[in-house]
Amino acid sequence: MAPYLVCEGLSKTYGGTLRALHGVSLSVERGKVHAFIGENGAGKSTLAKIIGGMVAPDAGSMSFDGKPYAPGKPRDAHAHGIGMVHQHFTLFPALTVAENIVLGDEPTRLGQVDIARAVEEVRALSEEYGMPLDPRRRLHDLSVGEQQRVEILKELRRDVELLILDEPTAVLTPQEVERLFKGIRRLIRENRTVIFIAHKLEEVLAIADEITVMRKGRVVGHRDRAEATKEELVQLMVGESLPVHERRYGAEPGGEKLVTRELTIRDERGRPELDGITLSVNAGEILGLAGVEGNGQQALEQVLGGLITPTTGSVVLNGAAITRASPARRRRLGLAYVPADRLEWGCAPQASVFENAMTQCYRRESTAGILRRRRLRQVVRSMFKRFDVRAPDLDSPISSLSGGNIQKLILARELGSERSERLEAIVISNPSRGIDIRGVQFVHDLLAGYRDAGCAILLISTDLDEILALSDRIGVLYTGRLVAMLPGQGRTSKTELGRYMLQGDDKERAA
Amino acid sequence: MTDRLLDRLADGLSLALTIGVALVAGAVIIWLTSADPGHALRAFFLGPFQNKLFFGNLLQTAAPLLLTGLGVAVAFQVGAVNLGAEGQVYAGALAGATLLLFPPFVSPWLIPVAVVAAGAAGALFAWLAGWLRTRFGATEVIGSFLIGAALIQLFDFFLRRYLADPTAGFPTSKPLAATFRLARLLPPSNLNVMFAIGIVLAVVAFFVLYRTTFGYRIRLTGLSVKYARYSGIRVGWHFLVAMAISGALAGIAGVGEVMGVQGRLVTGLSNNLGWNGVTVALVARLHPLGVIPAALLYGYLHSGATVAGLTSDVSPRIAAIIQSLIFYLITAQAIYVWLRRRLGAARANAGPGGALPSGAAGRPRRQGGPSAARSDR
Repeated sequence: MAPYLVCEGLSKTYGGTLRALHGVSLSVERGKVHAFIGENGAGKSTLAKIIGGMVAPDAGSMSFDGKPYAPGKPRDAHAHGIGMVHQHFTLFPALTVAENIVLGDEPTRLGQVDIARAVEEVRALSEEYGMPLDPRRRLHDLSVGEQQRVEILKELRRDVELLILDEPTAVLTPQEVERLFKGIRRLIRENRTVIFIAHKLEEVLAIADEITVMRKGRVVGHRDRAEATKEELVQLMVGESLPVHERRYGAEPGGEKLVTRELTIRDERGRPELDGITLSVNAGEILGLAGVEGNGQQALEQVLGGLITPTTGSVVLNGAAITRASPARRRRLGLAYVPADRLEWGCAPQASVFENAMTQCYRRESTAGILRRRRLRQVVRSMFKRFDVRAPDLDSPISSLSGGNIQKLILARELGSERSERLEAIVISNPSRGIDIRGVQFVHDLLAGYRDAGCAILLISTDLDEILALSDRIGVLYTGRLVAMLPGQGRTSKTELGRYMLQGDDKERAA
Repeated sequence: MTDRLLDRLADGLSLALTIGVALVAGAVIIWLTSADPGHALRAFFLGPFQNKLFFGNLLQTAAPLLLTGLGVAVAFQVGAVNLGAEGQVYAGALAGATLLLFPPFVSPWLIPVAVVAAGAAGALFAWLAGWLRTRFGATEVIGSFLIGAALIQLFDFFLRRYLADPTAGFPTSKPLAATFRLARLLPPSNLNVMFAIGIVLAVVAFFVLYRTTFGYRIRLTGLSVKYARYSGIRVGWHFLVAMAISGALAGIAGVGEVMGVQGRLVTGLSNNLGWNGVTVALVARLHPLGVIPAALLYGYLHSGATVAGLTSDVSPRIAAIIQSLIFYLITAQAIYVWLRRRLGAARANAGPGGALPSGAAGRPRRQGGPSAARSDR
């Protein structure tokens, strides 16, 4: 079959120094699902943006359907029949599904937007592609999976022949992923083409026909689905064979360390963000809390970290009530808290690497209130060494580091100081979001190590693989409630977890 | 090269370019308005260094701006905008001068007492603006401005009603006793010890902000309220202390003008020291040591305009226009740089929790009151 989309020697350098793509050549066949995989910073998103017309390459050329293709802007790509669905949606929360989909190309009658026709069009479209959606609902009432369907339908309405999906599964539950895959297969049956960017190998192997592996801005391998194995792909992505760690679960847990009783938080309108959460984390165990994003995770981690006070309920650490204790006091009592939002809460993005790294040790390394800067720098450097934080320049802003390095810096700061032997409990939220395979492995090994040392760990995560890989017990958060407490250590299936995440508990489904 | 270095370099280049353009623009105006532009240009740009009087006045013009500029910069460092410095200058002048006009005994030892009283008065009103923010969520930008505006009126009220010298033709108090006048260091100019105090305080402020644990917490609060709270820093308390320091510096500037320059309380005493302090702080890029060249630059331009107005055919008004033009061009560039950096910080603090405790503005209060953000650090 003739190649459909061909890229020749594409290069792109950002800001004069950061080389994102380095002479990338590849071809995509028509009617296939072509996956781009690679670690963070491998260049897959840049490549996708070049194809989608959002970024212009510094060098190289493309052809599409036999003709030269050099889009200057996304509109040019659309004119050629190429559309892209981004990781972060570009929808209007206050508008309805139909309004969002037709926006920019509205059906009109007498110069007015013909809403009725738009609704009809969208209904027909969603039925045609097996992506059920109520065109009249407003976007802010939709789940993330549904919003993604809106994005995809918006592209399909423009008759795209080639659809680029940038990490589409990152925010979905297993059931939603399955539904997305059904939609993708339907597109392929119509001889359309899909470029699928992903970091989860299982999904790539489930949906892709062809796989291109990228590393550090270059294409390092190309495999047909039939000949690809997971081990080989990992090796290509990482560039070396990673030792496969045998994940050990915790041994018999000890007594209760971190306990919450009937934690409830209401927002200004009195709606509960958290609704009567009662749980206990024991010494030497990891309690995983699964749930679709936005079901109370943030409120829970912030209550435990001391950033907000619950409306009712209590938090107890090692028998001492800490419901209203300050973040500083919690730390002194041996509670570490690593927030999900690293750039918003976990660091001061405008401050330097050094200023961010010294926050937990600056008092110890000072005399009469005066910082011992030289000593502090040594302490920070040795901390970085132990946690493998790669920061060439301590004085550049922390935002110049990669997500993985920022996360390691935060872990080093919160867990790695000299007090760490006295750590009683860790509350950690989405610790491996946005970091690469090696980083994830580092974080997981670290948590397992603290668990084995007798720490009580509450792992709040929207990543089911992470929850399943580490948890000794698994709770599920749904609309601010703890709807299930299931056995971990491989005794609960992904599907079962997904069901609770999507629908709450059995009573609710029966109702 | 690191991003931060690049950023600084770009800023420095654009500042140099702005100063260059501003000076050329000033020169062009002189060229157009003067019959003897060569002489006028020399008077404007070299005049301040011509004799002890002009040079001393250059330094003395900079002295109170060192203090107000430093005060505004300290507030900026904690993330606060103190637009009340002008009023705080008057509060300090009034408090300090009242003590010296009705001294319990006459001794030079009352001078430091007056300075402390002036600092306390300035601190009180800046603190009040900060407290309205931390307690009720009323932004300190507006609060400090309004309180400052009221202070100016109160100053005039007290001056006219209780302190005015009935024999003088305009609102002014009796002169201070000679004991309370600061010695002139470079007669016949007004230069006095306040200039040295300003330089010393700038160095002290730098040390405190960048080399102590307390300063680190102040700056961290300014860099990200959310991160500071997460780290266990009492952000509300540090916010208030920085505001109080800011007001104290402005207040000291006020009493310094009374003791060193005017020798009495007069209406319009500050003559925009507070507002020019804001621009000095911005030109200094909010850095305590940067305040020194920024204040000297202002003093230089002011002195140059005075010399040109006195000794050349450029009228004092045109000279003042040139001075303002140059300084405001430089300020505009400084504001641009500040806004760009501030935008980043604002993004970081958007959303719930970024507000200071423990006011109505933030999440903590509705969920259990001030304790949410209190820490025992």
